[in-house]
Amino acid sequence: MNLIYKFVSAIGGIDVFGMISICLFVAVFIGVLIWAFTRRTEFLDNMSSLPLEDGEKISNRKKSL
Amino acid sequence: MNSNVETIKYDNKIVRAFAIATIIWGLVGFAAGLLIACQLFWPDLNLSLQYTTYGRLRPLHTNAVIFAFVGNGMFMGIYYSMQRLCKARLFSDFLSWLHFWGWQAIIVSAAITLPLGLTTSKEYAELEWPIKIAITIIWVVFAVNFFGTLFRRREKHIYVSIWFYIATIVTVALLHIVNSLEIPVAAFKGYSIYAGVQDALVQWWYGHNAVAFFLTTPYLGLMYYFLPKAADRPVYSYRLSIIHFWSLIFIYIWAGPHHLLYTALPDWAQSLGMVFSIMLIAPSWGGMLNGLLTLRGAWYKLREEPMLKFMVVALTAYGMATLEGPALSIKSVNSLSHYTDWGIAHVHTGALGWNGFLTFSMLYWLFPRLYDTKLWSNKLANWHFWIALMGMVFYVIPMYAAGITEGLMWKQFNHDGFLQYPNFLETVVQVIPMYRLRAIGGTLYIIGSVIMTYNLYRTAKSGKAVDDVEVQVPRKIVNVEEAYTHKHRWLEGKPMLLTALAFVAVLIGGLIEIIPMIIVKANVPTITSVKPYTPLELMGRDIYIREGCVGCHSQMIRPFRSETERYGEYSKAGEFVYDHPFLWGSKRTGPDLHREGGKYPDAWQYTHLENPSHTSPGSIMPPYPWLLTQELDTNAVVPRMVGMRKIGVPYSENDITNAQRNLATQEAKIVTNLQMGAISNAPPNREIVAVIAYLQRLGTDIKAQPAPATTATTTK
Repeated sequence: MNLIYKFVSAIGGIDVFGMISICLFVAVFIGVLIWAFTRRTEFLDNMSSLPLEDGEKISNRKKSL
Repeated sequence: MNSNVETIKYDNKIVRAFAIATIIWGLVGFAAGLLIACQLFWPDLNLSLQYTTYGRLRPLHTNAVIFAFVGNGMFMGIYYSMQRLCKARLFSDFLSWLHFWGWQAIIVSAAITLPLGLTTSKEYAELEWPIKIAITIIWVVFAVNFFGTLFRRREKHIYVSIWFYIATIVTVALLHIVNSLEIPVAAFKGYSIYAGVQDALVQWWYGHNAVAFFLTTPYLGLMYYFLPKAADRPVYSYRLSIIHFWSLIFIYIWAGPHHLLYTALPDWAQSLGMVFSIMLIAPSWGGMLNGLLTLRGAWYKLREEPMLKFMVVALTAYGMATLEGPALSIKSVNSLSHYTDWGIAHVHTGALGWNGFLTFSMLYWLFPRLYDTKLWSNKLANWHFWIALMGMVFYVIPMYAAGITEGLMWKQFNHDGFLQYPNFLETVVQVIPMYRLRAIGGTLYIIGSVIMTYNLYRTAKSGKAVDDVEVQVPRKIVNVEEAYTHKHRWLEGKPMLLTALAFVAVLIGGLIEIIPMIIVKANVPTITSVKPYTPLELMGRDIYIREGCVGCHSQMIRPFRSETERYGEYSKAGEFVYDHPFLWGSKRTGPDLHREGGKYPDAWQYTHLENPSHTSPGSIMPPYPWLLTQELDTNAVVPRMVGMRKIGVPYSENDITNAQRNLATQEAKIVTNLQMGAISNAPPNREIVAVIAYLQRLGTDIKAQPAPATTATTTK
């Protein structure tokens, strides 16, 4: 605990934590945007249709809807 | 027979078990809520029993709704969707049932211990340490079963719902462990290892993220599965769902300090919490719109499929709650709303609307499938929908009115510069009609749930329980290389990497909030006159915790003139350094008690606790006559002081050796005071004496000497 405290104190002004957090968020957010927008359409279509293909047979119940 | 296809069986029996548990615990949790809501305008419903007071039953209500109703609902939906999204049976039937029965046993133990007053008093983490250990074990069982299923999947890609489930599992584990660290001093009694400001920060880091990762992320995952299923069309934008996921889990974890605005928490942490809370609007609304837009071109289905109606209201309530939450995190709004019933309105938009309606939606969808039949009555489901919706309206709107009324009355000054309503009770009496209306709302909501229960019961009766569903699925992936040819697809196929990234995302937020906690510890300005509690006060504090006083009384005076006029000097971080756990509270149904010490004579406190209406006519606080008769367990004091010393409270060897004697001396003094106050029949060694000792100590330490100039609340 003491060791952590020494380490943390060495960082200096704690206001910097607010700045670090915002920068981290912006970096992650941009990363996610890039990642999401480089997906191929067919891949996205494939992924989004996953819940609809669960291998269950269509029962009589469903037809009656 | 096609060699690329194999036949497996999905386990529907476990899903059914969780579904039934969801319904039963839902009714119990709602009923407990209605009872405590009625106690607030009809105090006789406290039943003159110590086990049924508002203070003890409120945590029972919150725990039942969160962990029993939503918890079972979550497991029901996750176990159903996991098998189908992974095209694999659950990893182990044994673990599934261990999970089921273990979770029910935890709920039952909560239902027994909370009315008995065995509580840590930390909101949504009230259960004492043996039960917390059980929760940890059962959560690990769930995790093993979940990840085992994931590793045995036949579908190479991991759908976004599963991402949300993963985030839930790892984050809840982290939150639960960090917030539950306590030192046991008896079989069902422990002290939080954190004190005061640190305890508050850790608790609300937990409390806020319990809302995020127990009530929100799993349900978003379920929404992304069940909504496309019911609408029979894919989610509007899978891309948006990915952005939704990462932004949500990354931002949510930072927003906890918004529960502590204007308290003794450092300013920068408060501002950080506020900024991230406002940013949270974006992913939350992204998710809501993604859900609602999935129904584009399919809105006509709402006429045929009642579950879709529930789903749409759930999403709308989610949108309202997640717009309101950030608004409440703005410091100026929070100064009005905090401690009022506005918070109650806010959480119930989420609980009744988002979690409740989404759970009902899943139940209506699952029951016909679990029993291979049709829903018994669409008409009754529609009745349920409208009655529950009216219930929500009747609940939430009066609570907004009550919250704003309270906030404004507390702050109102007259022309001469004095408080317009100096007697707190005036502000309570004013909102009692709203409490009555709220009870009507709660009753409607319960009626709706009873209708649903009947409808689902008849549905079950009309069909036959299907324990295992036989399905044909593609064989397990043989050529993994082929599966990941696209350079960007690696992430969806690697559950461990995904889990690690999600964990890091939440950990960074946690660390950056908790490291300053360590700094705060070193920088909380020491107030030399603040001393540890005496043995008698410590015992009194534990009774205060047992009775759940914190449910209605805060101990945190914010630095506003309206508060310092009413209660006295505002609270300083340094005053709470021996408070394991902190008792700042989150709601004022009664006045703040941080400067209660010395405000009234001992005899007043005695009479007030015996029957509050004797000293405060019209008070809605229940009487506590058992405190006058129950003997104080003086044998407990030494182990408790020893426990406190282990977590840093500077009790000397002498303090502990002489604990019993010091306790008796202080008791005798209070009994003498009581006799002087015309209470001649008060024997020493009764619990009330300890409670009086504690109340008279509250907030008095800084009066012992002028507060040093360095007691600023920031660490700058």
